Amino acid sequence: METHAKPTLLFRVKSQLDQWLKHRLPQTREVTLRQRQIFIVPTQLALGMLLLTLLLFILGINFQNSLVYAVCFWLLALLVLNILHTYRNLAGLTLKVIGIEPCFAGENALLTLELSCEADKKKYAVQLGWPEHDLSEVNLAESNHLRVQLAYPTQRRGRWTPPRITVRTHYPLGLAVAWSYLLSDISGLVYPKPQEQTALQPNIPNHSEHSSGHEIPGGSHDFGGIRDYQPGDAPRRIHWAKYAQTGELHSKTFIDYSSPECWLDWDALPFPDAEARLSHLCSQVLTCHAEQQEYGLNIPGTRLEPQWSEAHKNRCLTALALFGTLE
Amino acid sequence: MTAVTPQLISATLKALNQVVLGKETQIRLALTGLLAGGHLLLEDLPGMGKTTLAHALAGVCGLEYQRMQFTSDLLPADIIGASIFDRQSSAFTFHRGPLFSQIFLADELNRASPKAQSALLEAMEEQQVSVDGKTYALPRPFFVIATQNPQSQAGTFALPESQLDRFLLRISLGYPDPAAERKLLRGAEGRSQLNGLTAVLDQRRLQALQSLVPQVKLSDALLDYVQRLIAYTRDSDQCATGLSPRGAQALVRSAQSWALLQGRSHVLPEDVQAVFTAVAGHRLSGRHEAQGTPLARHILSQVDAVG
Amino acid sequence: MKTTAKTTVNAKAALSYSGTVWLLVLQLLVMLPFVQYLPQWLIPVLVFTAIWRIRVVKGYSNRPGLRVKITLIAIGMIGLQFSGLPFPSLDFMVTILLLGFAFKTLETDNPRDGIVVVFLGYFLLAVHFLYSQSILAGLYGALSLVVLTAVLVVIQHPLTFMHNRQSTQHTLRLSASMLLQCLPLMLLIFIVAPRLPPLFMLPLPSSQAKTGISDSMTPGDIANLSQSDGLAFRVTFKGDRPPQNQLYWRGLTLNHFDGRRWQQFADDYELRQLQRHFEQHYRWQPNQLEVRGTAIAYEALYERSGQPWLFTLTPVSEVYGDVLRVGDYRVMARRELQAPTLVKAVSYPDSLRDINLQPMVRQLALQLPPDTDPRTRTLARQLRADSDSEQDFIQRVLARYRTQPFHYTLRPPTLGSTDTIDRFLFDSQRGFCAHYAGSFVFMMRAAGIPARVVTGYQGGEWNAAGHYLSVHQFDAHAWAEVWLADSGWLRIDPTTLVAPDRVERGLEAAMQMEGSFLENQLFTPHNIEWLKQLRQQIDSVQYGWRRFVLGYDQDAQHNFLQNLFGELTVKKAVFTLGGLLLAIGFLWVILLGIKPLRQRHSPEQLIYQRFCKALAKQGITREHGQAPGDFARRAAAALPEQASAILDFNRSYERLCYALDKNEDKTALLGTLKQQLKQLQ
Repeated sequence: METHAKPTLLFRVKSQLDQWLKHRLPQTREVTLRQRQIFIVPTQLALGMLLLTLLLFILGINFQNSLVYAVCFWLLALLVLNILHTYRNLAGLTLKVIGIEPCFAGENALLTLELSCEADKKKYAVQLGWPEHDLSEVNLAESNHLRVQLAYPTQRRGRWTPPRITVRTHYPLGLAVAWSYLLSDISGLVYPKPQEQTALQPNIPNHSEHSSGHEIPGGSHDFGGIRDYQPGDAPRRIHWAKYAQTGELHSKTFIDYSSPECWLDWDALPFPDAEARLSHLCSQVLTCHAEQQEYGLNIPGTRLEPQWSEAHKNRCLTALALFGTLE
Repeated sequence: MTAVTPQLISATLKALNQVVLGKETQIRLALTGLLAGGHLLLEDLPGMGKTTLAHALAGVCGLEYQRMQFTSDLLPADIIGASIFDRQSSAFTFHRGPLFSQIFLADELNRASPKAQSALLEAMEEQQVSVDGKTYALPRPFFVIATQNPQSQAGTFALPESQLDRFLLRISLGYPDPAAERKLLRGAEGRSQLNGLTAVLDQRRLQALQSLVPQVKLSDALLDYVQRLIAYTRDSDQCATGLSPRGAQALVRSAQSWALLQGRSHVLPEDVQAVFTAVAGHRLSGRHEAQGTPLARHILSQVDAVG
Repeated sequence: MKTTAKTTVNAKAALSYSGTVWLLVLQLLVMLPFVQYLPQWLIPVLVFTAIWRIRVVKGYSNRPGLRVKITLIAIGMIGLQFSGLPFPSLDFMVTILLLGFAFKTLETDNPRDGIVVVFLGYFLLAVHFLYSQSILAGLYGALSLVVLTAVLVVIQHPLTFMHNRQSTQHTLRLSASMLLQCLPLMLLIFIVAPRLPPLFMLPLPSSQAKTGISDSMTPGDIANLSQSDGLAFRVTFKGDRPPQNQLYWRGLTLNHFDGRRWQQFADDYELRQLQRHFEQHYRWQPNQLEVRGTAIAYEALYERSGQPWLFTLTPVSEVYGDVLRVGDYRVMARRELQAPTLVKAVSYPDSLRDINLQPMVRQLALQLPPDTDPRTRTLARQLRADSDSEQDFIQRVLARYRTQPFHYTLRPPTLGSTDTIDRFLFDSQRGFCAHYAGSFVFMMRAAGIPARVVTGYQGGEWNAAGHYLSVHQFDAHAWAEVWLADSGWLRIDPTTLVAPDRVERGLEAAMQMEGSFLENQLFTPHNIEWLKQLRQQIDSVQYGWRRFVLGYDQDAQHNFLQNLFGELTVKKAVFTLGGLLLAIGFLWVILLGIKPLRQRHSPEQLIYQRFCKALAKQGITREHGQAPGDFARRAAAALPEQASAILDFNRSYERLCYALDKNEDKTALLGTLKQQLKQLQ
């Protein structure tokens, strides 16, 4: 049974640790690292240094050599002092999560962080990121403000919450490592992965047919009717003929036709699989946007009226990303 | 600030409130814009009292007023005016368009073609008009109130973002509250009062008030707050684009003007908050669902007003 | 994206070019001082590997393959073979270490390798102190330590870090300041860390060959020594300095004469055997000493000599240190002096020694080689027969040195290999202390009077600046002791009869005419007054260094701590140590500017936070984006009985934050604000 007990125990310890960390490091957008948040331990290298001092101590004993002792103790003192220096290199560092660039599933989500510190407390060789994915190393010396983008590979569409970000430093001597975590409450969007071959083009209608379009009042192309004059109506619009007849001012109104709407419709797609549909819709949104074609999106639960704008594209992609999630 | 100023302001506000019912905040904002020397964009459905407000403003301030309905076939000359050949003098004389007035109401601005829109907006920016190589100065003060249908309505040409920036404030009037609406329905007050409106201000007094706006004190703590707000708009993932430096200037100037209307000689965070939606609403574009006014409110709730 | 300057961390990252250069500088710095002691071809090896390394980093050359490496190691081994270093010696091991250190250059590819080089550098830096512990070596070591530590810093920098003059300065400054900050802790550990006796014997560096007086005497030895101005030891007296002619620093007694050479015993003993012999047969017996006269208390700091001999004024009644006392009144160290050694002693020079002479000692003191020097033996017997007493005989022998044309010289003629005493006494009559002492003892023994040769140092140079006596190798001297029935052992120095100056004023004065004092040294500053003074000043500093730094051993530690704290108790030790450590920690925190970081808020903000807290207690919390005015009005509405206090506070706060000019005085308003807050609380 021991073999079974082991992983659960490990798991429990790990989750306990996570709980404790969460308590100690609350989720924030912005954190200034202080005593409470910084953890510090000696590195492997410190063990090497300790061995070295032991060796020197023995050398000092056997040769009864005061200066060898001095070197030994100096290195020992350095080992201790370095811990404070390493701590200082992280303390007072302010980390701020700026945001996450939305991306498509399978791409790298880019998280932007801003680092800053007081001008007289320069920071060197600060590593931040996810050690198993993307770990960046920066200096905050010439300027005390810096932005860093971290990449994290995404797999699934939806809302992506970045795992805790590690920030650590070994500076100055590499004998100790000070680290902290940034637990951010920010989340980014991961759009569905656009389908590669867009075999199904959205049904972009024929522009020449007015019949299927719809009327826009207040246009300038086609005559629409006559109404009473209102102050501010352009003189050219005044129906002079009628004025001649009746002596009352009337204005002509005109109508424009807009091209017919293009709908990207969930039900129009012949896929049984929801993800495949989303993937297709995603690539269609991108196609329509690229062709500056107004389009609407209709998926179960969300209906977005036809429009063309950057914001509209974002809205559509967001709707696709969050389809079926609780939001 | 002279001793008369608060009375003058309250008299002005009172007069306006008698005409436009139940819209105290919007009236204050409109007057804020006027004192700050900026233009106003009223965005709302037809029939919400945009014209009334513009008219009332003109009347109370004792300013000359012109209205123009914008349509898609409107030409720049229709607004600015044109040179017409005068047979008697055998020369071209410039006939000033409706723009040459102290308060110009551009109704349904977004129906006009971009060409006509930009003619107006350029005039707004430069406070002058150039026709046939000749420059004509616009009257002072020059105050444009443009109205706009909501963006989603069909057949409109949305104003480009760069031009929206030229409006100091964007105000939507909204439906009146029930009490005001009841009064309106009775027809006792409101539009009918327009004719009886007496000018509380005159051109000289208005300019005196305007000159007081830059003197309203901006403390470091306040500018810190403003900068926090601006930084948030630039950094937050909620906003696609942040507030421009011109937008930031507009925010400060409007807050000063608002503080002056409150009878204060310094700006408080609440002044900034009061004008923020109107200043930033049309300048921000959200990345997500929240746009304009809701986005601005969201930002206000996220940025600490103190410290 | 506005600005992004980052390096992606890679575990197997390469060492940067400047990192490589730093490492090469470090290696050169560490290896350079070894040139004085070890094969000099080590430096060309380093230069060769350094050039190769630079070429590899710049892309001109390939990394050396396995074959090249093996070839290089083989060449190194052959070089080692030809250097003629004895195999199981420290020099051999250090040379191998240095060779490896130089070759490591070729393999230093990543930061980890760089760190190995730095650590090895630290070790070699310490190893160099086995060869030299001078102040200069110490300073050089400290300098190297700064550079080595700086390299550790450089290795930690990201690859993209711009290395320039400024950053170099910064790195060096950081490293130096870190080491300086370490100093208090280092000194504390240095003072209190236990000093243990050697765990096992290790071979000594060869350059530390034995110096000074050896355990046997042929006349040439002392002549050689007199050419050396090396320091033998320094002495501080507690009390008055004895007159110069009383300063006979007695080292060894030489009993056995084989016709040419004087040595301690007939057999050559190694140190251990000798010690065992002393322990068993010739032990120090306090009751043999009859203490008389006035005491002379002193501390002697002996230079590293590689020999166990200590030199004291005889007889010593009390001595402190790890020493062995022998029946011939000598004091010797239990081990060869590998480091400067401090011994404290109290001597009574006027005491009587060995009133009852033990037969074994008498036998030793009467030994003569059979059938040598017939003329001397005849002369001795004749003079003895003429004398009334042993004293009279001694006077007659001494008188002969005075009346005959004896000449004191450091350049005596050679005396051949047989009958050396005869040749000296009757033919050449030219020589120095060893000749006079040897011949005198020979004549005493020939007449049946127990006598022995004593070697040691005589006199010394008084350092007025440091109030201590420096005894140099050229002060080496030999004299005689004879045993008389009622007075025990008597010191007799026949040299004084020939060259009184030698004892009164030192060798330099005695040799003034001959000019043979330190004649082999090109530059002899001994005769220029201001240079002498300068030399004494420097020597004084060196003495302090020797005495307090290098000589800080188990005893010194014990004495030092006892002087400082009196009797050591565990409680006292724990409290003192704990207090000192705390003080150092505190000092560091201040030096590094590590404060318990608090949010930097202006006073009015702090007061406002308290205001918010006070209201939060009553259930009214300010929302993040809420302006102070709005919050105050909401709170006032919710808490009507406190409404006016809240609004007053808010008015003051708003005035303070938003209405005041920059240069207006805030203090009065802050006071008001605090008052108003109190009313709320």
